[in-house]
Amino acid sequence: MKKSRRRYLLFHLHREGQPVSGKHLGMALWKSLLSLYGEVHAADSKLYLLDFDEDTGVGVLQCSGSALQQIITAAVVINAVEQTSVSFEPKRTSGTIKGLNHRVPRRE
Amino acid sequence: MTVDVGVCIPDMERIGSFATLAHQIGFKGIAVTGLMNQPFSYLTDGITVYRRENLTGKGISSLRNQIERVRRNTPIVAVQVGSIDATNWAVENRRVDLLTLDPAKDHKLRETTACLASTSSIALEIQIAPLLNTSGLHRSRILKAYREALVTAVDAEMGIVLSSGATHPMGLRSPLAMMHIGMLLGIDRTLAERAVYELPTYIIERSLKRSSPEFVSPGVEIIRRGENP
Repeated sequence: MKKSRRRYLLFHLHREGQPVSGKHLGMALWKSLLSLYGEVHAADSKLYLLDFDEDTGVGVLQCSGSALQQIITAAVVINAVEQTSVSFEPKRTSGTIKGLNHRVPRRE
Repeated sequence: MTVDVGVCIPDMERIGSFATLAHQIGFKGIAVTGLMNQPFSYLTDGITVYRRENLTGKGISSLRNQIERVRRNTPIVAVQVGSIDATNWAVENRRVDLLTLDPAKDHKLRETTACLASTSSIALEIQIAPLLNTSGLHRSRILKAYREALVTAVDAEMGIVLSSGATHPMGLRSPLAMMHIGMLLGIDRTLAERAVYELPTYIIERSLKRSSPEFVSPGVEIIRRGENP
């Protein structure tokens, strides 16, 4: 099986109301992907929320290159996360985190 | 200049929150339905708000009366796909800009209607709001209706416009996000890009040009006025 390349997506989650936690956003992304494209696509997506700032709404997610288009679409159709109305704005995609010009904090 | 031509703001008091988000996500203008008297106005956010009217009559005479009343000072006039007679009359009329599809209704975009619209340079408008507010089987039915309409429109070489149809600020999506929804609906990247970035602006510029006193007919305009010798 050919190894797929990773892609990174810098995004901005606009919200109206309470801040959204990274955990809830991750769940909403998975649910949306599953609902829109099904279990096989969701499994192959290798979706992972690398970084998300609850205050600014800026974050980075990682996925396989072949699933990037589906993941952006699935994220865009999310209209609420835990009763908070949101609007997902994809900013920039890259093959490396460095290419996004965004500093991801190291996890402890 | 990128414009969201389908924003449904409930009252003018909320226009500020819509304009702020529209500016943040990269729009230069929004078109709102039924709230303005003048063709357009500038807001402090750097957003231009354009007037839009949706014609809602069932019969031809009702549509004709509405067009005559609003066309002069409205950059965007839209008609919803409805009964065959009224829809075909509307798409033959060059005073209409957009043909809107309501997925909640049974009316479909017919090939003949799409061909007539194509010759009159009327674009098919797809509003993404129904896709954001539904899920599961209900969303699947909306996807089916939109995808079928888009296949018909593309085959007839009809223009396509993507708009938000947002009734609250968080219903707005960035131009890039709307482009991805376009691709979800089955159109290719180039067409989706044109449907978001180019065609809405072109339609507004065309309407504003038509309403200027120098405009005579397509391709003919007064360049300089002077007295006869």
